[in-house]
Amino acid sequence: MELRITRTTLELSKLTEKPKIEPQPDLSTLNAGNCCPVWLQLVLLGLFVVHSLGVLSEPLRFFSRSDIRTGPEFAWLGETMKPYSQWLYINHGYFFFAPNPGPSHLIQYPLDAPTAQPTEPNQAKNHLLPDREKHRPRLLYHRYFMLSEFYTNRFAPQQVSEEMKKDLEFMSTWAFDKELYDQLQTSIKASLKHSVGTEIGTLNRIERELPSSQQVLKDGWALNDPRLTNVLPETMIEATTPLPPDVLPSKPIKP
Amino acid sequence: MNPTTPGQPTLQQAIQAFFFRPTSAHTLALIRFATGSMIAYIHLVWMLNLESFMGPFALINNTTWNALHHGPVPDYKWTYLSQTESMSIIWCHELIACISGLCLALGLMTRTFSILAWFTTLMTAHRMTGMLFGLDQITLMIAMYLCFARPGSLWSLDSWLYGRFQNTYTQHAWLRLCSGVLNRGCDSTVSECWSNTFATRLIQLHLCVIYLFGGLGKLRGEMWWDGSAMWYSVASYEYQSMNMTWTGHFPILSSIATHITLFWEFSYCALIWPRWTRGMMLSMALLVHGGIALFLGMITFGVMMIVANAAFVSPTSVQHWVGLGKKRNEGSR
Repeated sequence: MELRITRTTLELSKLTEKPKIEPQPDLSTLNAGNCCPVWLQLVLLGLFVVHSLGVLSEPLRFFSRSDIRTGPEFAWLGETMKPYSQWLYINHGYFFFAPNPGPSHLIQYPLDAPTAQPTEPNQAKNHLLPDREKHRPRLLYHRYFMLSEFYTNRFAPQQVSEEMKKDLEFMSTWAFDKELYDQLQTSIKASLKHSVGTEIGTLNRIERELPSSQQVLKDGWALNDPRLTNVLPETMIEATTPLPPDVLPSKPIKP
Repeated sequence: MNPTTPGQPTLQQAIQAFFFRPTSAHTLALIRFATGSMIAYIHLVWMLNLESFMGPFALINNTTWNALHHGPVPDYKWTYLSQTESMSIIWCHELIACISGLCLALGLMTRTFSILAWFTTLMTAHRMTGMLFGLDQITLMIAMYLCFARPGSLWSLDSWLYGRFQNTYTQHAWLRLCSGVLNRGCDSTVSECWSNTFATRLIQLHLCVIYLFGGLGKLRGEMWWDGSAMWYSVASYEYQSMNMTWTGHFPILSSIATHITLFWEFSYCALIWPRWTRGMMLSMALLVHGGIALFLGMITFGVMMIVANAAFVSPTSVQHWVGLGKKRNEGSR
């Protein structure tokens, strides 16, 4: 009888047993042998705090931005930590696919006088950055893709409206941005000219919109359907123009 | 009076244990191999078309680079690669970077080559304004933290050489210094070291910041709330590497996947720490980043994010799995 009770108690105690916890470190040995000396621990923890501020400064500044202002404490933190975080390349907002997946931007450039023999009819006229067929491996393609996105981000219109010209603050920023954009354009054109061995025409900024599921699955549009692409204007006055169907050399992809 | 209950560590002890409890390098050795290989690959790809990226005929030439970074609002990006137009110097730099990455992967003179691989990659990253993305951020982040650890104490040429030429290592301080073998406060025979823990914690905490702000950024977008973000991600022609538009036939599933990704990302920084949710968070990381690698054309970025997540796998688990693998191999012979 007694034996039975003991067995039942044992079984119950097994059921109510707390989950196994990994053995905790023997804290008394932390400062001995192969451990970090206390003075170094303190130094490292101090450096860790500074480093953490460096890591956090850019996302905090980035997130506290609005059309009116940036949160003053985060703006200050960002400015203070800028030399450290920028040089260490830890100054990122981490906006991966955020806030929403958006359209892609490409650079399309016609050759003025093609010297190389084209392999496809429309390759003689128009080239793309990035080009899925030409730029391989995928990482190389992605580098060119990032460049075309960067080029679009740095865009500054060649002309501005009369109304905008009255805004002196805007005009001073615009003049600087335009100079940088022109310089970037010249640099890209010179590089492309060197690689293809001929003059490069205008660099067109192409925007490829994202299709809806209805357009792809019901209407049968390919993801690179010409109806999704537009040439972005170089001034603030022009409207976007649809791209002629034979301009992009990529093969259509059917879902 | 002791404010804590008996047996419970004080705050100071808890911090000490969190950052400085000596651990082995099993996890970091795996991370070292993956990061070193990726650094070598990154530089190899730059070298495929180096003239377009650096030198006198670069897409962004030195004059433009200087105008972008040292204009009226100067920034603190600095690299010697923006000061030279000599292709010989640039080629030397890229070759050194690529070899350093390989040596880091193999664990040869690990301490020296981890620092060199990080520094040369950083110099290239500063020069390549406008051509970088998440891959560079993650690779440089991990490479930087590996410099503080001893990832070469296991599964490396360093540990093999140390085993063979122990006397030489004991006699020559520079060998110990360059390889990181037997550095101050670490006992190489047990390969446990506080610096492994410290570096691992830095990777883990940085990763938490990345996911937190990545998630918060997505919370601002209505496509992540209405569940259409997954569709619009796979419908981007430029990103697509495998046709996934069939997911549009299952809008509810696609929407659920969007929301799970969103909740996983912003809750990562909290739920990765408790042991009972860690496995779930790591499995989700594997799914999300595996998906990005396979379907969204960013195989390198996806792989490096998975590698960064490996920092949350304990060295004892890695040791256990490797031991199991070895036993299986022996059993099959």
